[in-house]
Amino acid sequence: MLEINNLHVDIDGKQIINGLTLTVPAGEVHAVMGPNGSGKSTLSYTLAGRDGYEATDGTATLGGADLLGLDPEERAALGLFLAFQYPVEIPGVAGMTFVKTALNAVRTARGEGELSALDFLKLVRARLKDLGIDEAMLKRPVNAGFSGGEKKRNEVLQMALLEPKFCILDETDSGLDIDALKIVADGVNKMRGPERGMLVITHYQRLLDYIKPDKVHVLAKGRIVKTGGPELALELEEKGYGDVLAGVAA
Amino acid sequence: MAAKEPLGVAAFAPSFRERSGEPEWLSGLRRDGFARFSEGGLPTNRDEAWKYTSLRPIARAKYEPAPANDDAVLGDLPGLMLEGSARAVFINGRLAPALSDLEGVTAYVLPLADALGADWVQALLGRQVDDAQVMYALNAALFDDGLAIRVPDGETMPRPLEILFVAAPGERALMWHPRMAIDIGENARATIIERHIGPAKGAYLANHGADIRVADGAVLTHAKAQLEGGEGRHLAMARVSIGEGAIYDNFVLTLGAALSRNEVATSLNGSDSEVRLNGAYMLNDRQHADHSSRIDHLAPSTRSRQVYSGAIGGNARGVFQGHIVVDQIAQKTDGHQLNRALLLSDHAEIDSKPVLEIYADDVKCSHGATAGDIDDDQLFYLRARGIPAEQARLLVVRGFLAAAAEGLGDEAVRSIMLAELDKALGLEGIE
Ligand SMILES: Nc1ncnc2c1ncn2[C@@H]1O[C@H](COP(=O)(O)OP(=O)(O)OP(=O)(O)O)[C@@H](O)[C@H]1O
Ligand SMILES: [Mg+2]
Repeated sequence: MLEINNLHVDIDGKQIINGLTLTVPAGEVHAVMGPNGSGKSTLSYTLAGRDGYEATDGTATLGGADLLGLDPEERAALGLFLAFQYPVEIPGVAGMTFVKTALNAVRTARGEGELSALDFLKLVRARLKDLGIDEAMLKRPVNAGFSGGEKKRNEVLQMALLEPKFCILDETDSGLDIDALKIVADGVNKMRGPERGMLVITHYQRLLDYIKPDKVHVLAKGRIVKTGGPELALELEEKGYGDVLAGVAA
Repeated sequence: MAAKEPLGVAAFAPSFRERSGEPEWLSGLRRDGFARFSEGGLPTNRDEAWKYTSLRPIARAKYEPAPANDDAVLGDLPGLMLEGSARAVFINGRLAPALSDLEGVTAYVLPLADALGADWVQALLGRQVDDAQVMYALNAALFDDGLAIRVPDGETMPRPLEILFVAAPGERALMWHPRMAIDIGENARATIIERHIGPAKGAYLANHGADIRVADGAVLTHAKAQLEGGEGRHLAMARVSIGEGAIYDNFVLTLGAALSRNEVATSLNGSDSEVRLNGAYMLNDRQHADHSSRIDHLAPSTRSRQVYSGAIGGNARGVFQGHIVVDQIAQKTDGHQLNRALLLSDHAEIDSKPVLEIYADDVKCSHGATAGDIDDDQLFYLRARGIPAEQARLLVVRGFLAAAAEGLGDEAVRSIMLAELDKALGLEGIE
């Protein structure tokens, strides 16, 4: 499903991703852990197509389609979704307007046609209910003045609405309270399925208690330096990154 | 060497005439206004208040006063902006009673000519004019029509009032100078919405003047959509006095006209009074739009809030001048002013001049100005959700401009103003 091969990424001429190789087959959930500044968000922005994140070498494909040459909206239309580590505030644009525009854009790109106002409202209400989010949140401007946790929930709401083929969650657990973490994890688990892949970036084993990963990767210095089963996360939680990093060349 | 004649006097002088049948105070006001104009002429860039906005094109345009019984060619009038409003329609600066619907508000809204005998009208129109307010003086000299709007103490105007100004210029360049007198009595309430529209072709000058009093405890919501035609020039000045505990809530959306200036001069005369001046504008091609404000805090615990946001493309130019004066006795003044501009092309320009004059020591005043490009993070966020680049840009611009309307208290009025903005952006019906 998602195949990344020997990826190198520069930001402002500085190499941040440094020969990264990673495959997430359809139906699997992989976790990525790694120290601050190791390149986890850089990887997710690069996959989503942010300006300034230049892939100088290597490939990244989703379902066989080359991602790196595409505009961000084309990647979204292909079914890629990134839940941002730092969701962006857009004062002056109501949340409802935003999700409706996004959903219709993605549906149009997939040749599904726009939803009627009524069907859209039904769908939104159902997803809001799943995630325990008050409809009032969508009447407010996108993320403007939202608490950290509210922003993260809003990301997962968008994900649930857009029904992407592949989800990248960049520290979606940070900032969530204990109850919200459960609700969000339930929302994510509901979306797991044989057709869908997920890459879950996190610092904490706690999230992985709820969202059981098929594999855990350690990203350090711009590369995957270790891969293991769920037990790897437990090990890291206990011992830190010291042992894993000890064997990694600078 | 003979002294050079002040700018525009030759162009406008022939329009001035003595009018019979008007009260003496008004004849005097007109003569004073004309004398003041003749002395200095149209303001030039040498006048501090007009530093960034040149009226030279107006001096050259040879505007003629619009004829009284015009056979202006009108298309269908647009529907009401706000459902349930009464509506006064002006064609080329003159009230068209047959096109208006003042049912339910006839006791509150009169043709100005029918109210000239009222003391309150004289009191409002007769107020001192500052030296810089030359176009206002010219308006006094030349106005042919207008409205007298009055809400007695404790009352609420039963319906919001839309004033629709339709420009229907013909072959020749026309001008008009409508005048409004608005008096909102103690603890009274009213909502007034102005809409100015004109055709894409046809030159004209609309030079508006408004005298407004918001008495103690009163609230006036005053919003304006300036959608003048592409060759139109639009100058408007409102002078507003605000009483104790009163609120003047003003919003302007500027989209039209080749040249426009929206000027609001307010005095917070009573303690705990509040003024909100907010505006959004979008300019293209060679449009020039000037938003100027002056706020005098003349009493303790007064509050002012201003946010003007503009998106400027093409070779267009935006001007913001915000002048706040805090009098010595106006302790605990709380004043905030912000001017934000998005420059959407290399040739777009914004000139921003904030002035704070503070004579009291216990005040909270701030101002800020930003000018820059579209926010890349916002753009990427929208695109990452599948929204195509062009539409994402429009949404970012929309958000940027709409944020200026947040200070407008009346939600229904805010949403009709934003609907006009969305129409202009091609995002109609997005909310
Ligand atoms: N615009 C930029 N210019 C220069 N360096 C950058 C830029 N953006 C990121 N970096 C650097 O790239 C490295 C990787 O950052 P990234 O945000 O990908 O880390 P991360 O693994 O997501 O960290 P965290 O766990 O703290 O979220 C960091 O050293 C960071 O300072
Ligand atoms: Mg990160």
